[in-house]
Amino acid sequence: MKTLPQVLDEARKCVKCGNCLAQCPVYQETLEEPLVARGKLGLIEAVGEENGDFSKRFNQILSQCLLCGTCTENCPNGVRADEVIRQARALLVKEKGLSLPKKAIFKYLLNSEYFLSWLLKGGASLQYLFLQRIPEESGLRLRFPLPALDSRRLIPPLAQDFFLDFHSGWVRAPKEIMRVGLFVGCVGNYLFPRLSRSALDLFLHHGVSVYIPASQRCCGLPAFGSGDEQTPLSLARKNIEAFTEESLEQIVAPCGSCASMLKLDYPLLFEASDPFQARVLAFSSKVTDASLFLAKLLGPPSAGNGPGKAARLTYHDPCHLRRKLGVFREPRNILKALPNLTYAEMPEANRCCGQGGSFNLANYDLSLQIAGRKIQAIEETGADIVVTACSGCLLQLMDGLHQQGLKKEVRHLVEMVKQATPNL
Amino acid sequence: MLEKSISKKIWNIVGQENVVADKETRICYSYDATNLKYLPDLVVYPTTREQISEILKLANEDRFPVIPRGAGTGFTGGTLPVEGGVLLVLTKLNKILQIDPENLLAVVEPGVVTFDLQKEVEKIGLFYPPDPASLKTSTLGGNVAECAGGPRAVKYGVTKDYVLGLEVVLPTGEIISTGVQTVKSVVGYDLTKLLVGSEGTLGIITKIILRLLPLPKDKRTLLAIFPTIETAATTVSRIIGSRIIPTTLEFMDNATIRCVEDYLHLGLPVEAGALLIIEVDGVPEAISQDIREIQKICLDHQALEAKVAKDAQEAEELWKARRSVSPAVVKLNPTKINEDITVPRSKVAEILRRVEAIAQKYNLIIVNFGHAGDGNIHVNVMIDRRRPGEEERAHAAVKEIFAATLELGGTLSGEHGIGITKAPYISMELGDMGLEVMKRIKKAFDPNNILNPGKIFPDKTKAKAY
Repeated sequence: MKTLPQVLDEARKCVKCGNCLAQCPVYQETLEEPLVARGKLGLIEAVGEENGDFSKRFNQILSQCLLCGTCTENCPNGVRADEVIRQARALLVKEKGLSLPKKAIFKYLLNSEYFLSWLLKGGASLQYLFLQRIPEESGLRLRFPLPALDSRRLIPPLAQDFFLDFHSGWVRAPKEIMRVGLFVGCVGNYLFPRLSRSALDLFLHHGVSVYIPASQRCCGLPAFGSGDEQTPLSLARKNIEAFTEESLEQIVAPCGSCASMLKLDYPLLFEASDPFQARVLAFSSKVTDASLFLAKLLGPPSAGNGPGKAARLTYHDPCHLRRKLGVFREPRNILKALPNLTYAEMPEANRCCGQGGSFNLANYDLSLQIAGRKIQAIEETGADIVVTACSGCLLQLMDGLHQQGLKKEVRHLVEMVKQATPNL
Repeated sequence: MLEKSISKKIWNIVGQENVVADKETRICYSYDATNLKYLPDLVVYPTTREQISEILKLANEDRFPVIPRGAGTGFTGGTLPVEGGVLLVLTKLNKILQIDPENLLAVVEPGVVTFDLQKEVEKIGLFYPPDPASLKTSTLGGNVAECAGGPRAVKYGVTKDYVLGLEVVLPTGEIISTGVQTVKSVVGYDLTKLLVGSEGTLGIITKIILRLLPLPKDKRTLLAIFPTIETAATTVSRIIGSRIIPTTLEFMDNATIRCVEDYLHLGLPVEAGALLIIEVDGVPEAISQDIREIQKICLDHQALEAKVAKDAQEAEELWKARRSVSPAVVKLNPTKINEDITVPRSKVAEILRRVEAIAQKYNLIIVNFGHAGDGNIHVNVMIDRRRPGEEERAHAAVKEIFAATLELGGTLSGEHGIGITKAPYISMELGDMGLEVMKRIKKAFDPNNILNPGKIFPDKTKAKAY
């Protein structure tokens, strides 16, 4: 801990008022102090000051945070608790060498009985083979480190054809008004290529030419959140290289979490003195989330006629989109204007769904419990369709609904817009 | 340190999953909102009153301290394990057992969060008025143990005015029920009132019967700005004198206004001497008239401005200034010594003048805000512990502030309690014999000094923070 005085200084700013207890989705399930920001900050402070050990328990306590940022947003003293916790995780990785999810993977790999029983489930083992096709550093691997998976978990089937295998380079709009890059992300590439396809079709339809570099990679957020700073650094370089194309006005990411990583965290990964930093800043300043981009592209929404049958929908705010990027009005405005659909706001729409990257992996039961509250809020709206704008939230909501045997559709905002666009 | 054999016995009582001994967890339970730290030897999450009873019996046999803890938001150290021992965390005993609209009462477990009860009863048009600033986090058990107050105390009183009865595990392990479910009762000593505000030294609360009121139909909010503390204080007296009791009557002094303006840029006049935020509640027609009268009184008494909020959203804007005080003032200096002296309403201006003089004498930054309507002033000495001598000067200043408060007929603590932080000063207010009577009561309840030792009484509070 001695190596990171700025982490300690920030942790010390916590005056222990306890306001975060009322905010933290994890604390509200458990009602135990180590689970809330105040406890973690107190612990980081104590371990740092005593130059204490990074014990297994310390590691475990640090893993029990979603990094949803709700405590930080509401802290009366402006303590950046989520950032302190992430940096403490990074320190732990530096000291101990292994990231939390990787540890979990090894633990289960060595437990051969578990691994075998898992493999024996036919469909799942097939999935395992599919996953061999996903690069080592993809965030999906951290989200689904297969041997470590709980057998209850709903895993969407991997796509037969990955998006980037069939779409790359320039796709020109007939009447071009603008040029953008499309950052597809792991979920948009391996799991739901139709989501990326929707974005592409929609942009082209509105006169936006789209550049899709085949060499783009995972944004690096799942690794970054679990304290691994090296993997995201090399991913950032590759992504920035991939999108080196002068004429791009914007780089659009349909996932709020990817967008937040590319836009806000990339510049922090590099030292200010790094000669690469100028390119990082140029890249990051172009990054935008798809709902924000669509809101500007489509202009002021007006409810009109269009395809699609009548349904009731609700919207879940992804933490990164709302709290980091400050985007929450635009998605609602867009959804409210969709034809044939009735929008119903759910209670506490900005409450975290419980995915939280590696949190979901290390604390699956707790993660499901938190998702349970979200599902209840969705139920209260009577909605048939839940819309969100982040790949992590998509997966979590699908899993949460599946666990409760509820047959509601979970859709990405981009798909909803595409579906409602006449002649598309 | 507790012997291993004791931990084993506690496992047998509550189950191994409800006992935590690792240092990391204990560190997470070593503090409260005072930000002072004392490590407990063991953290226990009891799930029934019988388990609490068993643990206390064991504590009397094996002589170890037991400290009850709710959300840990106290400002005087009431839940700090100053002598180590077993920390009983009661947050999981959090069921609302009953809401009875016919008899206007609620029965709750101690871990219920104050705000959660308020939300529930308001759904059916009922009202639980006490509103400590920590209400979204703090537990009702903690509110009762500390007799929590809040801005609405002007009109509605404090926690003790709503507690009808309690179920309590005595320090010796017996379980008793005190009080009643009726409005009236005179049967023996009023143990309920004795337990409310006893800071966890006389018993562990396991059930609370609370009185409820009908929910007021509407409210109106006004913000008024004054050239001086005196004009604001006179206005407060005149409002009460005109037979209007507002729900809240909050004030901020010049130093506080400057901090808030610096922090939020709301356009508050930084030269203003004081600011009042006044709220009235009740039937819409009546409160419209009340708020107009209050506005007139403000303007008649030199208010530079008196603005009535048009709707709930505007009211929220006005409250923003008051709510941002905490984060705004810590910008002055990192450490806030937060006292909650209370004087008779008519002495508010006088005590503020004296505090100002004391601040100058000791060369300290002191900001004042709080509940002008009931004379409860939050006096905040803002210090930087890294500057040598500053903490000592602050303590000397606090002692003088307490002396001035008592001279004006006030009390050391309106709503925070004594705990450990005010224990050295308690006899200033109670006198030796008053304190002695309280010690005898403590001894009658807790002959072995098992429950929350080192609190309230000054002699044994010298344990070291780690």
